Amino acid sequence: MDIIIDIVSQGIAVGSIFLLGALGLTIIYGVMGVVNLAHGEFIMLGAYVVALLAGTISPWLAMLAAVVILGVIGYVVDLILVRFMYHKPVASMLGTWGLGMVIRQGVILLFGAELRYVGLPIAGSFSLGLGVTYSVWRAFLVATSVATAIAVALIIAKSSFGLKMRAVIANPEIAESLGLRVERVNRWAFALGIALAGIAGALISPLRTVFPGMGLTFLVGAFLVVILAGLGNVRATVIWSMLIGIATTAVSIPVNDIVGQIAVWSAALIIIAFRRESLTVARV
Amino acid sequence: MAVTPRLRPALARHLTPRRGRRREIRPVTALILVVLAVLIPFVLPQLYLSLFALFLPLVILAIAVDLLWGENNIVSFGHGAFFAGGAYIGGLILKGAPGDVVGQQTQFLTEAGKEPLLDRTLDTLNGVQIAGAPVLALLLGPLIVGVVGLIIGAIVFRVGSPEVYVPLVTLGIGVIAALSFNRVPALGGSNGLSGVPSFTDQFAGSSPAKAQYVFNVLWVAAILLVYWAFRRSQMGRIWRALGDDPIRLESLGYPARRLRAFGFGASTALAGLAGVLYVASSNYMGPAFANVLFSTQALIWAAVGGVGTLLGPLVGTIAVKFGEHFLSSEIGLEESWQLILGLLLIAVVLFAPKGLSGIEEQFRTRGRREQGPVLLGAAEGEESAQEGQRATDPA
Repeated sequence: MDIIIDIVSQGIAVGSIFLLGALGLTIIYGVMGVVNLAHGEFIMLGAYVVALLAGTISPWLAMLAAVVILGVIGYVVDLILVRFMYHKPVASMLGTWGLGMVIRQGVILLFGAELRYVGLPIAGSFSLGLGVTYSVWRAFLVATSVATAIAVALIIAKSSFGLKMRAVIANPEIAESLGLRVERVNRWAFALGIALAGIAGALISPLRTVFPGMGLTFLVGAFLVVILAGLGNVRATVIWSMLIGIATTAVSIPVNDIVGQIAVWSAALIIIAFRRESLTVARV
Repeated sequence: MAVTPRLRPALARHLTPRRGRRREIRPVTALILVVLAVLIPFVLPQLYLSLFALFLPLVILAIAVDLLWGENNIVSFGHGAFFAGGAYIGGLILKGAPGDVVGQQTQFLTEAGKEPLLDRTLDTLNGVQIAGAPVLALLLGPLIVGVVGLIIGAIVFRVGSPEVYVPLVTLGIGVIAALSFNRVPALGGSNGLSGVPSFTDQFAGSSPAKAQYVFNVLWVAAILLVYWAFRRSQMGRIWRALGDDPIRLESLGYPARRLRAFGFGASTALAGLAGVLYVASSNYMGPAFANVLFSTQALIWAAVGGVGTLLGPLVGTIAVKFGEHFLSSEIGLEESWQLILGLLLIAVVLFAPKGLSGIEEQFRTRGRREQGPVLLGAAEGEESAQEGQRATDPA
């Protein structure tokens, strides 16, 4: 019984990070038709900002800075690169993969390739019953990412920016002809997606080793969620990221991490085999 | 998405056999290539010749990638996994004899008791000294990898929009394959498989580099010849049309999904063959080759040479690999090589969707094209329209 609680609680923490990554990917794909393969590198950048700043300012401030800085980076990256790849999935995959390589190597050249560690902003743990303890930080991580997901869903459903975003998703040409600045909506949507990656990176930084190549695991996990949940569907994204997080830990705690990933991917392939709807059908 | 399936005149062009319509290679170019291939072993110094021999199998990998990407609009981020798979199979068969370093490692590592069945199978494979090892390696490597690819293709191409799904699934396959190869002791774990004998050991004589070059160049020439014939054939036309508009092809009665699954299998088999040739040339294979990072390098070679062109993979692979060698080993820019590659990929995507092979054409047609960067994705629609116009031109 205790192992089940352990698996579920750890799995939800893993799933929370996948959730934030997948939400960013979903928004970016849904609004501008760009498959962002540099997303893992943006998560890495979020963690790096915290790792670099945590020594000098309070970790909370560093995390806030990570989100803001990543949002700005997203805005700039869209301006100089991504806007040329709107609605071209194949080109955007290659271009953003190139961008990821540049970011990864750029970080190595600027800050070195060494591993970095970030201290926990809140230490301590509490009991989940039956002898299972849970660190406060993990609980904070889960709460923050679920709250963020709800906030994103609310932004999309209720705010005027969300309305504009939905208009662009539905039909960019008509939205533009009605006077909507589609370019601007796209840019802010990309900044929002990258800021979400920044939150993910900041939250995971105290739990993982921070190094330039850390992004790939998150990218692959987040894309697994996106493949299964469909792009552009927030509720399904929340459910699937938690399921995948739990499924991963369900194998990796009793066996090991790698077998866990293999098992989850094989399961995903089988699920895909029995579904036929296209990725582009799902909408926000 | 805003892009709706629309009428694509290129389709008609693809499906009507018209001899000489798609002229890939001028006889002069072919002649120059043959002369170069013959001259290279006499001109190049030993070091560069052995490097060249090592790069040639990678050309085949680039062709495998291009067969999917350039011809069918499907990008694979996992071909390194199939390449490494073929290389491991070939390497194990070629090594044959037991009791080597890797064999001892096997003994040592299996005491932990992991994956005993797979190990036992691999051990027997390791233990059997097979007479026709080279032939068997060249047959079994591509065959096994191709069957795995076919199964994966059959699953993935059931889904509606494979051009988005396949890259993501292959990305996962690459990551998983690299992790798994890392953990199989019979494959040398993270150390990889070393000391694989080359195909040309028996008749190498005084110059192993030269023998290896000749062997590999013959393979590349054979594959290029087959690729050329395929691109001209009816099958090749259907394959390209599938990339243009799979829905229409399906409605015309072609089994689009099955064809694409077979194409994917063929492409992975080709990657497996490249792996077997590579492991025999470098005498080494490690899990890093299964990695997504290596797979994307293959994409970059194909992209730089020109996607969807006959000679693009050859030109791109040789150019990028030698560029890498010069920049990292001779000028000492090793640190920034990945950065340069990334920028190169972005530049190709933004400015030169047809890579090196397309630059000449781009200059020639510049006046007629609209201004601004030509985009890969846009090229799909735009170019089809242009090609369609060209097809209706009498000349």
